[in-house]
This record gives sequence, C-alpha cells and structure tokens, in this order.
Amino acid sequence: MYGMVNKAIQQMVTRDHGEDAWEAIKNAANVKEDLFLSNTSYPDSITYDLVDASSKYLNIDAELILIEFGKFWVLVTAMEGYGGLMRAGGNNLKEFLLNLPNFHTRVSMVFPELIPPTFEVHNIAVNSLDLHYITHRPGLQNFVVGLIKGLSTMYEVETEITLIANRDPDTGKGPDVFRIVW
Amino acid sequence: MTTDYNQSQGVAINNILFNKLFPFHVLFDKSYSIISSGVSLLKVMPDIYQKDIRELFEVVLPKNIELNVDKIFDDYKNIDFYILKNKSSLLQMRVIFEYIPEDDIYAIIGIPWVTSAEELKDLKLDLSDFSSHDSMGDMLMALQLQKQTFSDLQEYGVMLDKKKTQLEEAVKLLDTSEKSLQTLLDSTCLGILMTDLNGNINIWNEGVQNITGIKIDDYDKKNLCDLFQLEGIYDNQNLISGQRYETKIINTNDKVNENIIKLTISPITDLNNSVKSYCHVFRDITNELKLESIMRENEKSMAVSLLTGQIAHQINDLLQGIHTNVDEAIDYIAADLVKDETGSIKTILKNIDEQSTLISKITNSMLSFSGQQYLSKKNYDINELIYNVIHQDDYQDIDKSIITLNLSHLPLIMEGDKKAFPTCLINILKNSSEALVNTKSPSIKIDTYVALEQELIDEDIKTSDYICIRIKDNGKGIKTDNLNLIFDPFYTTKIKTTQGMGLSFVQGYIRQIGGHLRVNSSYGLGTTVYFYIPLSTNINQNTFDL
Ligand code: HEM
Repeated sequence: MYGMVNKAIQQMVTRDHGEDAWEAIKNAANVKEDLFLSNTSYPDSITYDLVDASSKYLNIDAELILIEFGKFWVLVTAMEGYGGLMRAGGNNLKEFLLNLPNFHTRVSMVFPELIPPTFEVHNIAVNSLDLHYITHRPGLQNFVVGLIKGLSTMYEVETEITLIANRDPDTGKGPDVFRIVW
Repeated sequence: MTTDYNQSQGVAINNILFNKLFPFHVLFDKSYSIISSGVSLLKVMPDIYQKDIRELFEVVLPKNIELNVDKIFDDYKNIDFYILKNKSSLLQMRVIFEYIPEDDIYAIIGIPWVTSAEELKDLKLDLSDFSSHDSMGDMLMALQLQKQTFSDLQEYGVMLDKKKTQLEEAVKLLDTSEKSLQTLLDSTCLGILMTDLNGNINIWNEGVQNITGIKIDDYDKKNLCDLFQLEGIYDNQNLISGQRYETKIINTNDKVNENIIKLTISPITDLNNSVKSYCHVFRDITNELKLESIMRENEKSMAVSLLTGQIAHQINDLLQGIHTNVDEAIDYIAADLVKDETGSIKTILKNIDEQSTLISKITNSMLSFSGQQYLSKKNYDINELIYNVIHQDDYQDIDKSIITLNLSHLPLIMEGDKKAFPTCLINILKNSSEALVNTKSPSIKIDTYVALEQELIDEDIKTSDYICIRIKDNGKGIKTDNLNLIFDPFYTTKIKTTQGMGLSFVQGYIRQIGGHLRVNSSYGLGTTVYFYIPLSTNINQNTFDL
C-alpha cells in the first residue's frame, strides 16, 4: 500500500497517544523506516504489522483500531489532503456511495501502483443500499465500517451498518456485503 | 497540425450537451456582448448576461495582449491559449477563443485556472463543476500529491538534520571516550594489547612493556604469536566460539626477573556477533602465586601441628603405661620377688625408665609445638623473666655481652607457664647468635613495651591489650624465599641442629597463650622478632609466681 496509508496510521497514533507511543509501536512492528513517503508503495505487511502492534501496545482491539482508522482516513487524511476530490464524490452520502465504484479509479490516475478495492452498490432504496466490497486483502472489513462512519459524519447523517454477507472463507473470493441504512 | 474539418461529418450539438462538455464557456457576439455562459461559470459570475466581455475580463497572459477579436484571429493567431482574469474577482480562466460561423458569434472555451483544491474552494467550486472528461481533478490530485511529496521531503530533511546532529554528538562522545580510554590504558598496571584475528598487533599500552619486558617499538605490525611463542593459540576452541580464554605464560624475556603472566584473550565481536579482533590482558601474577603458596604452607603447618599433637598424646599414654610397669618391676626386684643376681635386669629397667623419660620430653615439646600442651597458667612479669634469662648462667651458648636490654619500667604481666616463655626467648636468642657468627660488631637488642595500636591493626589483632617483646639482631638475616619456611617444624638452614623444632615450638606456644609471632628480616641486615602476648586480665588475683 502507498506510504500515505502508513503515514495516516502514524498521524492518528501520534495525535491520540503521542510520539513515544508511535516509536514504541514502530519498534514492536519491527519497522525500520524512519518515515513513510506518501507517494511510495510499501509492502502490505508493514501496514498489517503496524495495526497489530498498535493493538497490542495500546491494548485496544484491532477491530476498533481499524474502525477508528477508517474514520480518520475520511475525516482527516482524505478531507485535508484531497478535499476537492472528496467533495466531488457527491452532495450527500447516497450520492457519494453511488459514486464510490469510480472513486479509486480517479485515485489510480495519480497513484499508478494502486491496488484498490472494488465497490459495487446493489438494492438501492430511498434510505438504504447494499455496498459490496471486494478485495484480495484479508481482514479490512472493519476499516470499511470506519470509512462509512466517517462519511456519515462528513455528510452529517446517522447510519446503521450491518455486515450481511461474508466472502467465501476458504477461497477469500466474493464480496463482503454491508447493508447501510440512514 | 492542420485538420480539414470540412471533410468530416459535422454533428449539431445541442445546448445541453455543449454545456455539459464546456460548463465554463462564454458566448459573445461581434459587439462583445455576452449571449450565454456555462452553468459552472454562472456559479462564480451570476450576472454576466449581456455584459461587455471586455469589461469583465482582461488578458493577463501572454503579456500586453488586448482583448480584441480581430487581433486574436489575425495578429495573435499563433498564440495557443490565453489566461483571462475576471476584473472583479480572483477568477482566472485558461481559455481559447473560437469563432462559430453558423451563428457569427465567438466562443470562449476553458476552465478556471487553479493550482490547488483550496483555490477552487475559494471560488466556491468543486470537481463536480468540471466536465468529467476534464482532467482538472487529476491535475489537482497530482498537485496535491506533489505538495505532499514536498512536505515528506522536508520532513526527511529535518530527520536527516537530526540524525546528523546525533551523529556529530556521537562522534564527539567517541572522541572523548577514546581519550579517556587512552588515559585508562596508560594508567592501568595491566598490559592491554589488541590484535586482528591473526594476532597482528595494532593497539597496546605501556603496561605490556612493564609486564613482559619487551620494548614498545617492537610491537607495531608484529605478530603476538611470534613475540611470545604462542603458535596456534587462536585455534583454541573457546576463542573460535567467541568465549574468553586464559593461559599462563612463564616469561623469560626479562633476563633478570623471570615472571609468571596470566594472559586473558577476549574475542571482540561486531554487531552481528562475528569475532573481529582479540583483546589481550596481561597480568603479572608472580606475587599472587607466592602469596598463595605461603597460605598453603601455613595450612600445611597447622595440619602438621594437629597431627603431631594427636601422636604425642598417644605416645604419652603408652609411656604412662611403660612407667607404671617399670616402677612395678623395680618394686618386685626390690622385694626380692625376682632374682636379679647380676643386677642386669635392674640396669635394663633403669635404661628403659631413662629413655622413656627422654621420649616424654620430646612428646612434651611436640605438644607445645602443636599448641596442645596443658601448661600451667600463672602471672609473670615479662621484664623479670627476660632479666632472669639474661643474668643466669644456665645458657652458656649465648654470648650475653652483646645483648642490650631496654625493658619497660612498668611491669608487663603475662599469663602462662613459668618455663615456656624463657624457652621461647632462648630459642630466638640461639637463632640470633648463630646468625651473628660472622658479623663484625654483633648486637642483639631486646625491648619490651605495651604494643602500639597501629602495630596490632597491622597484625590484624586488636581485640585487647598486648605486650610486645622485640628482639632485634644485626646478623645475616633470612632470605625472603626462606622467610615463610622458618616456622616449618622440619625446616633448617643448619646442617646439624641442636634445636630440633626451634621456631615452630615457639610459634606453637605463643599461639597457645593467644599471642602472635612476627619475624621481619632483610637478608644481610638482620632479623627482628616480635612477640605479641596478651596482657593478663586477672592481675589482681594472687596468681603471681616468681
Ligand atoms: C481521497 C480519498 C482517497 C484516497 C486518496 C484513497 C487512496 C487509497 C490508497 C492509496 C489505498 C491503498 C491501496 C494501495 O496503495 O494499493 C486505499 C485503500 C483503500 N481504500 Fe481508499 N482512498 C480514498 C478514499 C476512500 C474512500 C472514501 C473509501 C471507502 C469508503 C476507500 C476505501 C478503501 C479501502 C477499503 C481500501 C483498502 C484496500 C483493500 O481493501 O484492498 N478509500 N485507498
């Protein structure tokens, strides 16, 4: 994943727990990099190790960290760095979610090595829809939950997010389906 | 590039599509009056309908260009695009001018020119105001990324700076620690020497020279194995596995003093735990070994004295039996119960009696040596005892004229046996006399005094008050090597000794009464013997026996 992801984790940890915590986490994760470059691709394992080490060091469940990180990603990283892009995503949550399938395509224009997830929207109703999330990366479902929560905050709506179907546990194929009701 | 548009099939574009494709366009007629404009531009400039385009905009790039359609399509036709600026706002547009002959009007086609998402926000615009084919969004993202990359680099720079300062500090620290290491190396009495893995010497201190006697200039680039005949030392299994290795070298390099050196070799490893060099520490252990052997000798003599005591007791018991039997036998002969016509039995028995008395004396002195004799305990003034020894005629083999007495004016009362101390004194005086045989003006000085506190501290005895008797001669002295042997009961420098157990008896007795014996001697200058004997604690009781 691009360095901006690890950098965002760093920003979140330092903001909430201070520099020392971050250094300790980085050591525990055995990360040798002094700092991450946004525009450089790093192995996914670094990101996973950082989440793992944060969870152990801060004594917070990894799921909770991923949710918090999703919110942080939308409300801080994306909005501060790519506000125009985010605003262009739609005038309300529904519009944004409908546009989401295109979202990373645009991101790919400037991050040529991006391996983005795929999103599909189904069962679109007035105040609900099913968001299908497809990726080869394991264990990031709660990150998606956090991202949607972040978007809800951004558009100032209350949402209810339920994971109603999982990808095939053996092959990892197929979507995780989130029902989003607002 | 020229394209023949007349050849291609034209398509009529309706207003809606035109607007979708060019949401920031402006159409104006020959009189520069605005006919219509795109939806997104209207968001920024709502009231532009029928206004004069020249009043709203000016050309800022290229410089010195007039907003004049005749010139634009004639004089300026080589200019690719223009930057127009709205005179009453921040809006700048990147545009081209087109003439639409069907309607005889002009079109300005373009987009707001911004270099960051913030500027777009200031204009109250967002990416959705741009047409989807427009790569404005991508450009903004790219610019954002560039900014991000730049700030990453700055962060990188700050970090590098920090590292540099840290490094400089580390270098300074290293510098000072190198200096203090050097001082340490210089000041230690250990010899320290570093080699590479093959034993080639690269660092050493003066201690090496002091201990080994090999001159400093000899070391550089030399091999340790050659200097000390240690071939193959680095093949040692301990060293190979990164552990330290110790060995002893008998060093004969210093021709005068052969010494024994303990050499400790420690492998120095790098961060990856592989051995990079060896550190050698040389320690002169000659004196340590000597001390050790003295200690061992002491222990040996204690053991011997214990054994001697046990044997003497057993012999004494047997002697007791023999005595009784002999006495009885004599009684029988006296009572004529046994015929002894020639008297030879009586003579034999007498002989047995005399010889067993002699053995009894020997066992007594053995017991004294072992500190186990039950000697009588009474109070005596040391000064008197000494005075008596010197002024009685008993001890002929001592030349009393060379003895000077310097006795304390106070009585110095010891508790002990009447005969034992004088025997000790005579023992010492005999030794002194023998040592004085070839001395020009021989002298023996005897002092008595209450032992000084410091003396006792030096001797490690300070629990109570002691009498000190010092006997000092100017004889030939005792060799250092022999000094620790003189208490050995079987040691003698004399071919024929009259004294048998000599000093070991003296030491045995003095120990028994809780005292302490010290012998100082410099070979060629003389010997001083110190007796430290506890001052009697029950002086008031009537236990004097003089
Ligand atoms: C400006 C906004 C955004 C940018 C620049 C962005 C960029 C990225 C980048 C760089 C990655 C890492 C993938 C890689 O490096 O190969 C990523 C992953 C991801 N993004 Fe975004 N993203 C943005 C917004 C969003 C939003 C709004 C959502 C969803 C609601 C989203 C969902 C995800 C998810 C779920 C992943 C994890 C990758 C996976 O599951 O395979 N992103 N994004």
